[in-house]
Amino acid sequence: MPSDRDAADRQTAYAALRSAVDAAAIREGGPGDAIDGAVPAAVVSPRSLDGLGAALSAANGAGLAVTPRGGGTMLGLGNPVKRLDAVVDMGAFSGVVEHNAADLTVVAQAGITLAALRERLAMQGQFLALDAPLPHRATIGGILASGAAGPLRWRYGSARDLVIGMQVMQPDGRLTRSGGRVVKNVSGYDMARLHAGAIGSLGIITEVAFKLTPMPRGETTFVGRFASAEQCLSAALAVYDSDVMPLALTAYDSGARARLGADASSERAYSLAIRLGGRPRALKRMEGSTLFRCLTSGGNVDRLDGAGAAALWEGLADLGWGEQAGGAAAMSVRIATLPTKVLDVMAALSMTGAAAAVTAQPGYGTVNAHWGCGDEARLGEALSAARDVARAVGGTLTVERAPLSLRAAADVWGYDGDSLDIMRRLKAQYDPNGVLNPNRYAGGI
Amino acid sequence: MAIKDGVIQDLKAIVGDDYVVHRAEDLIVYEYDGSVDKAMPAIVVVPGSAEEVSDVVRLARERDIPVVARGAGTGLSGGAVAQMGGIVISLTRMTRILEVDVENRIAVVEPGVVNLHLTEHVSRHGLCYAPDPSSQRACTIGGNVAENSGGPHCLAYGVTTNHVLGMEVVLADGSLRWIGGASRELPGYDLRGIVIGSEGTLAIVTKIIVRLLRQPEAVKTLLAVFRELDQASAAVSGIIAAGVVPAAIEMMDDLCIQAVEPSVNAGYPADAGAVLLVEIEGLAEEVEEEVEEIENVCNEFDPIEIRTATDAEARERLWAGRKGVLGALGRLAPNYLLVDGTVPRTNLVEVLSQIRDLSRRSGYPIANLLHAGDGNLHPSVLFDERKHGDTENALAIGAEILKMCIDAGGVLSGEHGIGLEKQEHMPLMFNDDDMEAMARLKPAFDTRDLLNPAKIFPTGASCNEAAFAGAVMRAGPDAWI
Repeated sequence: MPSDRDAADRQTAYAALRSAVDAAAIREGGPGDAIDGAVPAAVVSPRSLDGLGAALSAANGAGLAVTPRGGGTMLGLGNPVKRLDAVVDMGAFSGVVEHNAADLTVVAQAGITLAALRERLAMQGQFLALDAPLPHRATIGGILASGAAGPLRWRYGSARDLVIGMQVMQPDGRLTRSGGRVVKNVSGYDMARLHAGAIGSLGIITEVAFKLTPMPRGETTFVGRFASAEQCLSAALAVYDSDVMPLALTAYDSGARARLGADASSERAYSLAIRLGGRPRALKRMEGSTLFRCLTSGGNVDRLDGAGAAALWEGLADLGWGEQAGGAAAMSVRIATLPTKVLDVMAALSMTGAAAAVTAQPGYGTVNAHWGCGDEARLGEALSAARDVARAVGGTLTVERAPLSLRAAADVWGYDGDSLDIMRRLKAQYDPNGVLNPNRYAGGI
Repeated sequence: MAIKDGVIQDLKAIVGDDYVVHRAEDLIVYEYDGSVDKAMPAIVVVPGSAEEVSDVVRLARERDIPVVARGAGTGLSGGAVAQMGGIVISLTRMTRILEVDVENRIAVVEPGVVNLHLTEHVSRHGLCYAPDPSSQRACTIGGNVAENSGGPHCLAYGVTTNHVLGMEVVLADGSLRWIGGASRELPGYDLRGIVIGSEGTLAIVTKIIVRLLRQPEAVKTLLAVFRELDQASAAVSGIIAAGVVPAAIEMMDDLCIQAVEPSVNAGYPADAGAVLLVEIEGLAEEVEEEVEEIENVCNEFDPIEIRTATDAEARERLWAGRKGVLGALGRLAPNYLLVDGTVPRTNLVEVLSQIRDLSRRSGYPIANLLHAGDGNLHPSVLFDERKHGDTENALAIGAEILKMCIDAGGVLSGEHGIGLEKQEHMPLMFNDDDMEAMARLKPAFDTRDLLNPAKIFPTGASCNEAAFAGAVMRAGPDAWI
């Protein structure tokens, strides 16, 4: 829906922000800045925390609607935008504040891309156990705010599980800290949990402290291919029930396989990618055990190392989010369910047509599905079929991206709990003027 | 606070006559927890179900009476002390393990389930519940949720918030809700993550869905003895920097060794300045390879000796010295003040040397016990409360140690919580805006401030040292942190 605010309103909004920030930090919004068709009056790119605070405080005083933007990869998450006066671009906050390599901790500004942070850490043999989609564009602030995650969540959990401290700019321009730079801490409320997954609706994440993981000494990836979902599940559960603890365990269907560039015409419709890591002798034992379990479940198994393995895992993380799969009429959803239900969900979603591609974490309980057929009516059918699938297993479906018309008609968050009242009170506590991403969160918060 | 007689009758109508405690002589055991802060509740109720908890809270709200939830009372920061009087809800009757779903590796438990009982119960399936606070034989899962408890093995596995998926809670208005659930990554604000570690100030937990882990195939314990404390702490930093993350790294200094050796006969050499205890878990091959690496790191720092053990009994012997320390401190002094703080692991050497200087300067011995792998320090200031001024001096030293931790990039509490003990110290770590942002959580859950009031945030009513008095402990035979 294009913005229906008239030119005078746009001017007033722009002027309110212009008076608060340096001329170099603000420009008029253009079509390229539109979110859900709404073009912001202003794009503010603060150079400093003071500048960010001043901009937010001005927006708060004038009752403007602000959307924070990192890499812009997950802006389709949430209810359609109804009001948008300004986009606040976090690109200037792209530094590493402190990397204490020997302590396995890092503090980084929210606007740094995941790829840039990883590169810094890799130089010292460490990594952040986080592989959200599109790491060259996605920022750590955006990843945390959107709850994006990739295959590594199987072993390490999602981004919020890695956070040990956070700095947040409140809508009134006050900068607040919680947590710390140590790995064990119970000093005060765990405020980072409030902002993780909140799409910036309660404050803008400006800095994050993470605990790090040593880089595995060696790695091997196996890909098992199976004729049926049952075989694939049986292999996945056999690995899950063994002493082997993979770094990632991702099942995917033939649609996903096609998007990864592999031949999808084979009768082997389901694949299981297993990422193993460890010291030499342990890795050897893991390989033998994993291989045995895939083979005895009826799989054909390939072994990938080095660049081949890296490309597969990157492909699985990015699946459905790459440029070629983008365009207006694409749809992505995530489903949270019980660890043992994911293969049922995956098999059912594969049948929804509309060029479905599905990945899942057996033993963990998340399924990601993407459709890219370009036809809104068929996407709508796929969405309602996917909802039925999720409902049948007691799962929860969240739409991460879909054409505007579908999102306008759907409950995109799929929150089915009974605590929207607490969430509304939290919004009223932290953003009483409804400045940050108004209406876009669950329950229209 | 005066409670009218009618309240007792109404509470009896909810939970039954046998489960309302109101006579002064019966209430005394509910006056304190593992800290030495004391406050007498007016009434203690022991409900048997979530619905009863809900009804009790609803009644308390109607009459404007504060409510404090209580598990086993092992907490060390005064979290279960009814600072403003009122009603204590003891959850010790709600001890059922409601469900164990082996395939999905989750269990649903009531809050009064003792931590160790859960692991014992699921061990027949080859599973375990990872958080293992030192009080795990007594402490409850509900209390663990309130304090976001850790334990020696949280180095590898994380603390309570990493192992709880969902909870049924009673809010201050008496309503029963589920926050989180049996699945991971559910939409909506992470209310589960907010309530965990909120020290009973936001909600009372009545059911908990926890994730279970597979028991490791192999476990090995390594004990390294060093002449100097600095060598041991440098070895800890070396192990972490080498990219080895053991299940646990524990450390104790010469004073701890002197205290514990006569009673436990752990066989520590007389000239030992520090002992390091490292536990490694995982695949058998993985464990062997990591132990080799850890030995290599330790050998760089000239250890007096290194011992290892794999079978449970031999491992237990290596742990015996470590577990007996707090109980044995009574040999050295009538009282000790146990301090809890965390620093970056790279600053252990520096902070421990500052603590040693402080001890020398002040004349008070300080025994150092550490969850070293996490950078979590437990210095104990030894003193004698019968000597004039000794208690005050010990408290001042404790406060100074906390300042040292924070100056070294650390935090106020690694695992004991803020509660009453450290509420006046919060400004050392957080500014007014930080604390104000935290405090705004409270009214979103509890508009009238009836759940565990007057905790966590500074009251301004008492001086720092008086608030810190809660940490003064007498050595007990079974205590170990």
